[in-house]
Amino acid sequence: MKSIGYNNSVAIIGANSNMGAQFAMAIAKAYRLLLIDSDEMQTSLLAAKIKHITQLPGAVEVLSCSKDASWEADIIVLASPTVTHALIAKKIAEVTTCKTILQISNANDELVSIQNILPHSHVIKVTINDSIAMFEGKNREAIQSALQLLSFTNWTIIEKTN
Amino acid sequence: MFNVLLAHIQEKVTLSVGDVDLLKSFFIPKKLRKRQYILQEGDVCKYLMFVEKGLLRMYHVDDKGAEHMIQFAWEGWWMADTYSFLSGDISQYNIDAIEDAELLMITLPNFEAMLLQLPVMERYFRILFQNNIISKERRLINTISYSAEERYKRLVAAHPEMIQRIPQNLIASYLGLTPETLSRIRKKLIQS
Repeated sequence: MKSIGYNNSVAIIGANSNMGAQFAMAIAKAYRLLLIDSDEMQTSLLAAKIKHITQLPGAVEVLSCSKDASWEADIIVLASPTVTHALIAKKIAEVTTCKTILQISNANDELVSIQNILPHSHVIKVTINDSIAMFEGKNREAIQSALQLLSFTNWTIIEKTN
Repeated sequence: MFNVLLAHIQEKVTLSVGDVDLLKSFFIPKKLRKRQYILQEGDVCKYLMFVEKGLLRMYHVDDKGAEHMIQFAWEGWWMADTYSFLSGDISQYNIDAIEDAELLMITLPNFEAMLLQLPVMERYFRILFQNNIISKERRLINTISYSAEERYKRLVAAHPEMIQRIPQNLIASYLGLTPETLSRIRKKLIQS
């Protein structure tokens, strides 16, 4: 029986957005990706592009349900428009206990906190301003996971401290 | 999602509604696909895993590349390389899914926090570890005292569902037999 190697699975919700696609392409060689977006056709095109880069079977998949993807994933990236974050958080709350969630937004977007909707998840807020990624979170282990993920991007990473 | 775990716990100890809510907050829900690893030899076993649905196996690969089954876990069973989980040392074992699985996983820091905040779980895990020691002793006795046929018969009697769900070659490996030997034993038993 031949098995599939384990490395962390990352669900990217809103994979077709600029930030989602950029993120997916950047981390594809190091993580198994589960891509979710409303336009599945476009998501499939992105998946094909990533498969071409990684050359690994099963390294990227398109899923239609954000809850299923978050259940399977070890880390969740919310890259959809920020107005959708609260709704998605409610949907995935049950399956994200103790998991790291990166909530990504542009500097101009109004970011609603989802930590109260996901009290047992480790939410890391990542704000992108040009090529700078400013992030903040409370859980040290989750911050390490986020740093590891972000290190694959071309963004300059800065931790926001109070 | 927690039905099997809660039923398993409440067979042994009593949990209040508040306890249940707190308990749930320590576990990572994780779906695993058939043939996907959750632990690979050389990595640290970071989780103690409870199987809500599906089937896992833990095995060791020897120098010649042969797989030796150590343990199987299906609905209502716990699975981990306990030594690696508790010590933080690297594991000699692999754990993967024989069937698509739904797991509830707990890290060591969360496990310790849970035992502190829910003392009733100390009792639950004491019972579990006691049972585990007994079962390991029995397996050792079976291995050194009984014939291959007797070992197979005892396994069928103890876990009939295992025979239905697990491929014969993996059962043979678990019993320390070659698939051919197990096949001969099965044939003989069917004929008799």
